[in-house]
Formats: sequence, C-alpha cells, structure tokens
Amino acid sequence: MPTTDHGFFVNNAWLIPFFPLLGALIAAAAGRQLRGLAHIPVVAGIGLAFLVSLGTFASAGPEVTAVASNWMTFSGLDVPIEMRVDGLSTMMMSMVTFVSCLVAIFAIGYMSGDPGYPRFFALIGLFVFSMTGLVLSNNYLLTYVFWEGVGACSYLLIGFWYARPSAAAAAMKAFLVNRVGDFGFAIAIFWLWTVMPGHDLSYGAVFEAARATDPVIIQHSAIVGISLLFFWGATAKSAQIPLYTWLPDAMEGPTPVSALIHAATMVTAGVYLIARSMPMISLAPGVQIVIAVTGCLTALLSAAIALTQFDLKRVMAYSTVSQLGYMFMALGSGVGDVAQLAVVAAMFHLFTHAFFKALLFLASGSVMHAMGDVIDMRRFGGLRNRMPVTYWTFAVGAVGLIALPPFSGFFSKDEILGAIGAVAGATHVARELHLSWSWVYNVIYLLAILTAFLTAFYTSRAFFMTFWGPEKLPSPDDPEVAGMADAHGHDAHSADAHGHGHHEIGHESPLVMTVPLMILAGCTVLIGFICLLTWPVAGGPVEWFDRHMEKTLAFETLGTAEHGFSIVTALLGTAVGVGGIWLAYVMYGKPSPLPGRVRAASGPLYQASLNKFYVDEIYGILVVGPLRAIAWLSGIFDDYVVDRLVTGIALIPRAIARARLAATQNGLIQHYAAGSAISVALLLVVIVFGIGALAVVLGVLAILLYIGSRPRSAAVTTAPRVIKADGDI
Amino acid sequence: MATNSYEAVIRTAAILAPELILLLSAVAMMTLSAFISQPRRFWCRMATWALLASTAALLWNAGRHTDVYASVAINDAMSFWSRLVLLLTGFIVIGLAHDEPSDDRAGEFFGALVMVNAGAMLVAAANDVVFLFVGLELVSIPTYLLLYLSRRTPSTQEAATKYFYLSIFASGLLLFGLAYLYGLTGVGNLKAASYLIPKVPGMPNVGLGLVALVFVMAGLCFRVAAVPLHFYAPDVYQGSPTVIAALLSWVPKAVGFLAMLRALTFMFSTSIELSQKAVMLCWVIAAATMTLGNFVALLQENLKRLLAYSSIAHAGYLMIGVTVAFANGEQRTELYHGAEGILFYLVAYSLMTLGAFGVIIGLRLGDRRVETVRQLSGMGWTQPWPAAALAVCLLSLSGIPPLLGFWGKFEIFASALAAQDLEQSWNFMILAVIGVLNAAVGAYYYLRIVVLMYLAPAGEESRFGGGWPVAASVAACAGLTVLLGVFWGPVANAAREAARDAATRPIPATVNTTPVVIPVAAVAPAGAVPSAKTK
Repeated sequence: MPTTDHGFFVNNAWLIPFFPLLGALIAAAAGRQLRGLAHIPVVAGIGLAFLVSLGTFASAGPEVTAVASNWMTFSGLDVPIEMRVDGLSTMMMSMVTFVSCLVAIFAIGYMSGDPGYPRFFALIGLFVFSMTGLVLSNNYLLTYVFWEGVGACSYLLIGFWYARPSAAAAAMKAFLVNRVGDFGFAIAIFWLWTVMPGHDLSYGAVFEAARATDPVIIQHSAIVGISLLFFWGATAKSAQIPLYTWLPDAMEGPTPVSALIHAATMVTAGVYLIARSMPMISLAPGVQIVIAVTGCLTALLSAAIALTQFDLKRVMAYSTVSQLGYMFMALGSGVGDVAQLAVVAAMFHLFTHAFFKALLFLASGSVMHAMGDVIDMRRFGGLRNRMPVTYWTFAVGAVGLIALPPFSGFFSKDEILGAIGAVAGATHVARELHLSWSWVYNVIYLLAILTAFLTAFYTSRAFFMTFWGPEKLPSPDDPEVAGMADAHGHDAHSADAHGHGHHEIGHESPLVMTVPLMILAGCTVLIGFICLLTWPVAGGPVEWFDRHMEKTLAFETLGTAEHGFSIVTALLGTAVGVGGIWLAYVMYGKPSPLPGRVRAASGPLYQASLNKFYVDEIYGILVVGPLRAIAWLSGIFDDYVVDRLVTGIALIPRAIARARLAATQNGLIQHYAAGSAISVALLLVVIVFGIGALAVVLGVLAILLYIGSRPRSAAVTTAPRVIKADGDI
Repeated sequence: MATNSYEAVIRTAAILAPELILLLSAVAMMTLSAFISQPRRFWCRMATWALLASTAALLWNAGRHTDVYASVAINDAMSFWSRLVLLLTGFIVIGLAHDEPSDDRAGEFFGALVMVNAGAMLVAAANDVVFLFVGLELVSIPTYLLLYLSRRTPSTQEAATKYFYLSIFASGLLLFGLAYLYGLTGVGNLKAASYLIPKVPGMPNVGLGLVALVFVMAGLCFRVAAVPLHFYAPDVYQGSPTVIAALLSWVPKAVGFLAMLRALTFMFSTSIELSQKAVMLCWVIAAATMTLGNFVALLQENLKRLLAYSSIAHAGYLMIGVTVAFANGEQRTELYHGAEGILFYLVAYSLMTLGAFGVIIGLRLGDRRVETVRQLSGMGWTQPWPAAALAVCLLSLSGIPPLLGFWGKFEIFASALAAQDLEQSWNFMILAVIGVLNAAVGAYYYLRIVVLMYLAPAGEESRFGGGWPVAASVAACAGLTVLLGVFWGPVANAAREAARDAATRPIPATVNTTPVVIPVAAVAPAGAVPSAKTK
C-alpha cells in the first residue's frame, strides 16, 4: 500500500529512533562539558520517543507504513528506510522506550560519579536508537543493520568497564557468539534476496511471495531453509541453545545494562524476528518443532542451572534465558490453527517479562549498590528491613516471574501453556506435520510445567536468601566490598562510581533508583489487573492484547481457532508455582540444614548444575580449541605465505611503473606532444581501419622510435626544467 | 516562425542567466581591478556574491524548459543538476583560493576563477557543437591566466607553459573532431543530430563518424587527463600553486565528461556500428588510463604529483562509465546507466579531491607548505581535524564504504556489469575486473598516507594556516563525503534523472513551447540530409 497520510505520529515515526540518537550524540559530543548532567539529553530523548510511540499506538494498522527516506535506489536494489507501524511494532516500541526510560532514570543514581558517565548514557541512547529502528524497520535488510547495531551496543556496554579483564572477555564472548548467529541471519537474507522477485526484502512482499501457491514463487525447501536460518540468527541474539552461553557472562556489564539489554529488550530481538516472520515460518511446521524443542530444552536447562547459582544477577540471567525459551516454545507451538494464539502468547509473555525482569534486575542492582557491589547471596541476607522498597518491589517481580495470579506473569505464562496444550491436544497437527510428531508437544507441555516449578523454586530461593533469614551484611573487611579495596570487583572507576554511597553499607537506594522500581512493580500489577478487569468484557484475559496484535502485518494469514481459557492449565501452573515457593521457603526461609543435605544427596547433579553443566568447558574443547588451532595455523600461513605473496605481487605494479611507465613522463613537453599525437594517430588507425592496420603502423612506429633513440641533440635534452619528473628517477 | 525563434532566444537567454551573471561579474571585476586598488578580500567577496547571484538565478530557472531542437542551451535535469554541482563546488574552490593571489592581481585572479565557472556551466547546458566548444575554451583560457597569475616562480612558469601548449594542441584536435561531428549530420544542434542519426536512412557516414569520434575523444581526453593526453597532469599539478592544481583536477575533468556525454555518447550509441567502435576506443582508453594512473602513483612521494596520478586513475574509472554509455543503445531500458554512473561519480570525485587538496593547502610546516607524503606523518595526532578530513577524503578516493567514493565506484562497476548482461559481451566484465583490480592497487597509495598520519611519529611542528574559508571548504567536502555516503539516495536520484533526461529525444512536433508551430529551426537543416548522403 502506498504511503498515505496516517496522522502526525505515523508520518513522523522516524522520530522514535531519532530522538534517542540525538540524545546520544549530544551526550557523546558534549560529554566532557555536561559531566554529571549527561543523562539529561538521553533520558529526554528516550522520553520523547516513548511519547511518540504512544502516539502511534492508536494509528497502528497491518498496512500502515511510512517512508522516512530512500536509502538505496539502484538498479535491482531498492532499500527505502521504511517503517511499519503495526500492532507488533507499536507494542515493541512502546515497551522498549518505556522500560529504557525507567532504566535510564535508575542509572542516573546507579552510575553517578562514574568517570564514564557520559559514555554510558551515549551508549544507552545509541542502543535505544538501534532497538527501535530494529522493530520499526519494514524490510529484512534494515532490520539486519539495526540488528548489528544493537549487537555492537551490547558489546560496548558489557565491556563498559573495559579495564576489567572479565568484562572485556565477556564483551568479546558476547560479540563473537552473536556473530555466529548473525552469520545465519545474513545467509537467510542472501537467500531471500536470490529467491524474491525484484529482490524485494520488505516484510509484506516476502510473506506474500512465501504464501503464493499459483505460481509458487519461493520453493518449500527455500522456505524451510530460510526459516531455519532465521531461527539460527535468533538463537544467538535471544540466547537459546546452543548459543546461550554469552548471556550469563554479559552480567559483567553495569546492572542497568543487564536490566535493559540483557533482560528486557535486546534479547527479545530474536523472539521478535521469529514472531515477525511467523507468516512465513508457519508454512514450515517442521521448523516450528525445532523451535519449540530448542526453546523447551533451553528453558529447562537454564532453569536447572539457576537452581544452584549464588550470584544474584546470574540467577536472573539464567532465568532470562529460561523465559526466552518459553517464548520460543510458544512460537514453535504455533502450528496450524494455534498460530495466532501462539504468537500472541509469546509476544504477551515478552511484554510482561520485560517489566518484571527489568524490575528484578534493577532491584538486584539496588541490592548490589547497597552491598558495596557484592552480589554473592551467601554474603548477605535478611535485608527486608533495611531495604523495604527494594524488598517489596523485588517481591512483586518475583511473583510475576513465578506466575501467580493475578500478576501479569500468570496470564502470559498461562497463555503459553495454553498454546502448547492446544497444539498437543489437536489432532489436526499430526496431519499438518505429515508425521506422528505431535507427541513432542505433549512432552514439551510437561517439561514446561516442570520448568515453571523450577522457576518458582529458584526465584523464591533468591528472594529468601537475599531478604529473609537473619540480617547479614558483607563485612567491611571483605576484600570484595568496593570502596574498601580495588583488588577485585569493579575497578577504580566503579569504586568511585559509588563512592559516596559506600561509606555506609546496607542503606536503601536513593529515590531516583527506587521510583523506577516502584513504577515497574506497578506495571507488573497493573497489567495483571487489566487482564482481570477486561476478562468479562472482552471474553478472555489476554483479549485486549490480542486485539492490538491483530493489527499486525499478515496476522490474518495465521491460523486461528477458538481456544477457551483452560482452567486445568491455570490451576496446574499456579499449583507448581506455590509448590516451588513452599519448597524454597522450607529450605531457605530460615537457617536450615536442608540445603546442605539436598546438596549432599544430589551429589554430581548438584555439581553439574553449579558448574552450568560444563557447557562452557565442552564448547571450549569442541569449538574454541579447534578454532584456536586453526587460527594459529592460519596466522602462520598468513605471515609466511599470504603476506610474502601479497608483498611480492605488490612489487609488480611498482616495478612496471618504474621500468616502463615512469620513463614516458620525462618532463619534456615535446615528447608529451609527440606521444599524444602518435597515440591518437594509432587509435585512429585502429578504429577506422581495424586491428590489422595496426601491424603496419607499429612497423612505422618502430622506425620512428629508432630515430628517436639516437643520441639527442643537446638543445633537446637540456631544455630548462625545474619540475623533477618521474623519468628523472 | 519569427516569433518562435525569438521566443527560443529569449528562453535560452533566461536559461543562461546564471552564466551571464557570472561572465558579467568577471568582466566587471577584471576591468575594475585595473582602476581601483582593493585587498584580495574584496575581490574574493565579489566573486562569492557573483556565485550566489548565479545560484539564485539557477534556482529561479529550475523547471524552465525550452524547445531542445531550437536552443543552443537547454535546462534539462542534467544541465540543472550539473550546473548546481559546479556552482556549489565553485564556492568550495573560492574558499580554498581566498588567500592565494597577491592583492594587486586578485581582481584578475578571482575574475578568471568566476569565468572558469561560467565556462564549465556553459558546457553543462550546451546543446550545440559551437556552443560546447565556446564553453570548453571559456574554461581553458582563464585557466592559463590563473596558472600564470598566482605566483611567478620558475616552476609555475614551466607548468603554465606546458599546460598552455598542450592545451591548445588538444583544443586543435577537439575542434577538428567537432567539425567532423557537425559534418556527420549537418546539424549543429546536438539533440537534433542524435535524433536524426537513427531516423534517416544511410546515416551516419561511419568513416566520418569515426574520425569525429577519435578526435573529439582525444581533445576531451586532455581535459579529463586520460591516456594518451594525460602527460601534462603530473608536471602541471606539481609546478602550479595547489589551489590551481585543485581547480585543474576538478573543473576540466567535469566539463570533459559532461561534453563527452553531451556530444558523443548519446549520439553515437544510436548507431550500432559507431557504438561498437566507440566502445572499443573507450575500453582501451579506460583500461590504459586506470592502470597507468594507479601504477605510477605508487612511485610518488610528492603529494600534488600523487594526486595528479590519482586524478588520472579516476578519469580511468569514469571512462568505464563512458564505455558503458556508448554501449547503451536506444532501445535499451538501461539507456542511462553509464551516464548515471558518471554523473554520480563526478559528485563524489569533486568532494573528495577538493577536500584532499584543501587539507594540503591549509597545512603548514613552519612557514612552508606540505609538499611530500612523508611530511604528513603523525599529523593524525598533531592536527586531528585536518588529518581526519584528509583521511575521510583519501578513504573515499580509495572507495571504502560507506563513503561517497565507494558508491561512485559501485555505480560505475554496476553499470558495467549491467551492460555485460545486456550486450552478452565479456568486454564489460573484463573492464570491470580491471577496474576493481586497479581500485585495489589504488588503495595502497591512499592508505599509505592514512597509515603515515596515524601510525608514524610526528615530525616537525605543524599548524593549519589556511584561515576559516579553507577550513570551511574542507569541512564541507569531508562532511558531505560522509553524509552523502550514508544517504546517497538523493544524489543517485538526481544523477538518474539527469541521465534519463539527457538521453531522451522528444519527437519534434510535440515539444513546441508555443502551440502554433511548426518544424523548428533546428530541423530545417534536415534539408542537409541529402547532401550528407551524397558524400
């Protein structure tokens, strides 16, 4: 549909990425002058972007697009900077800008005094620019550009304290692992480019071509391959098996970064990509099984790892991986007429998860801030009286994550379980798959319930260990407490960063940090209440969200069927949640010998979980080691073969130039004129009489050259010249 | 009929208002300077005002059309955009030159500079053989003056002499060729001639056409510094003041290629025999020019000489576009690919070359100017901004994405590959491959400077002594190279529109601007057709 007038906000949707970018540029350019005020342009930019996003909400429609500029127009390649303002993108944008805004405000307190303060906010602004660009883009190529953009911002922010070797290594790991995924995404785009008529990579055209049956435009094998490659790309960005290992390490970055990028927004880019491409991927049910199984295994594995971690942020990181796994489970279950339900479930979970997970991370950051950058849960405990706001907001976030009614997480997780249940129970799915694979979904359903139980357990464990039990603070003699010693923990900058807050440990964080916590907690509750309140009116708890998602491009092409609220799933989900909390309470609610006994009883299993099932070590042996060996060999080959060869080849033009060409440039004007005249004459002969005549002429020329090569008269050779010409060399 | 011709004249005059303003200002400046004594600032300001007035006149002219078969000058998209680019680069050149002449010669100097600009714009608008030649000479003759005026050292004199003699030699070749070109159809109007060639049976006389082709091409090769008339470039650039070298590397090259498009490609591509031969000729010239320019540039230590060979090399890349433009016959939809690439590339080339020269103009070592590549070592740290601008320009010259120079090469090479698809001939593919290999060779000497600036220790104390106009010009060049490199859509669209417009030959009866009329003045020489046949 050609761009028509969709109102101010849609026509100017480019403002949404633009404002944060502008803020970032100001913060970067004037950082030295602004110093402690560098947050102002960025927070203002993100805030304005949020307002514009809200403005686009009402005008969103499946076919609403706006062209900001024609980036590339060339024969056979036409890439407009075109934005699609539909249900999916407006939802993502509003969520991203809202959460970013709160996180940026939180960071004002958290990062204050850090020497890299302006750099931090410039990068946050740049990140929001890339992320909003990613979700706004209307074609795969532009999406890819911003996809790389968020990757680069993530790299820079994980390595924000670059002087710390662990942070630098984590940043490198995140970047390299993401490159592996980007590789898949890039191949998918190349492939699409070759199969799309007119090389049109816009979403609308691709989905239409994928669905076309008469004539078939994209072969089914290509659809399967491209979908798989998209998922490959998504596994890196959204931290799924096998490429999830970078995310827990990414916690080396400042906590607001973990909250914003590695929990709420960037890591959902993969989910977004798959959800966006659903109209195509749903044509390949086999790929969807792969997605669902991968998501399920990731969810289970990372939940199992989270059970035993002592680093509060790492628990949250594995929890994020696990919840992302849930989203993929849902997307993978969108087979046949469950497709719409599945996409809505995944996106709703993405939406609610963004709030409560950002909340949990920020609350962890608040704890870390108060504990002098100590994040090991064994070193502190019983903080509920010292940090009441953090305590209560963390509790709300935890309940949201555990998915107890009526909090937002309950409804979203219930939707996902409902979708999996629906596809597992649907007989038509087997037909659709042409094989009897539908039992897979039954297994996934059970594993998802199990994961929900584990989620409840590890979340409550972290909660009880941090806030309950006897009060315990990290001792000031503890070498890890920042401000006391710089040997470990954050380097000198970050010690400065929290300078004033660290003289006394264990105080509630300042308002600028707790207010965002309260707002996010409010959202977690509010979304749940919206679900509850609209339930009777709309006919379903998530119907209000569904209505908005229906305004998504090509959404109507996904299968749909009536799926009522499943009371069994809801009860089951709540029951395992309560069970998990109860178990955690028994073990960690007060000092008890139980954890020790369980540890002893489970033996190697416990060790495996504590050591993250040795996945990093396995990758080290299987992938990193051989690659290092190859790199070493390549290095030698490069130094001794390629380099020598290139240097050798590079000598050839120089030698030719020196030996032959420079001689013609001897600085004598009469030679220049004669050379030109002879050349023109030669060209004339060749052009008019053909190549054959050249032989004759060359003979004549040889005679001329012979005459010319005789000793020149003194008058010619000593022509007065001051410019040193090449022939003189 | 009379009314019609009168109307055509008036319209043409209106179209040429920007040039007329420039010429009148130039004449006034040169005359006045004999009588009043003013500092060079004054003359520089006058020249700037003249360019501003001319720009206003050009913008006022936007969209004004005329009967292309009746006018010596037209205002199609190619004319409009080229003239706009020439005017904007004119500001940059004046900025670079603001401090160059001594006060007593400044009037003539800036007058000549304005005149060169007027001549270049005339070529862009020209639609007539004679008019085209007048425009070309209006570029050349003031250039002799500029070469001689600014400084009277032995090396300047040598450069001026070499340029003068070789230039009139080339003008002679060109004039000879243009006479044959006229003889081909007996029509001076270029659009009319290219309209007639495919329409009239027995046209064209291939032998006549080939002579015209070779000689016109040779004459224009001098302007663009292409083999085999490239010899002057290194010596003249090195010997003349840097500003003049900058001017020489841009304006004559632009007008040369514009003239090739106007006078040759759109006309010769209409006839199969002629276009085949023309492709052959340009193929050889392009390959030889690129290779020679890049190879010999590898040896250079003197910065201006290096940029001279670089300008030869870029003429070679641009000749690929000319080759393609000759191949794109009339019935092709991709008719304009080659021309489009050339026009795009010229914009990129102007910015990056003028920017590179600008930095060299501005940088001083003590009181001396920077002369050799070595003297730039360590500048990246001692002179961060000029060095960054120079680095941007050099990276763009070597074609690193996403700078504008990359997209220029991209368009040119892509047009060659498109022609390859179209003509089913490997020649274009081979030419593109030669071009890419040359770009790789070229990267060596550009990147060497960047490496020296950033990785070598700093030498003598340096400063940027150009004054703010030079700084502003350089900033504009480098900034636009980056900005347009990222958002190159507008440039590409303008280039496409220009190329498409210049290639169209409307059916005569439909283009009359007044409803009354009648085979236009230019078609009258259609009576010359029989005489052409009888030859």
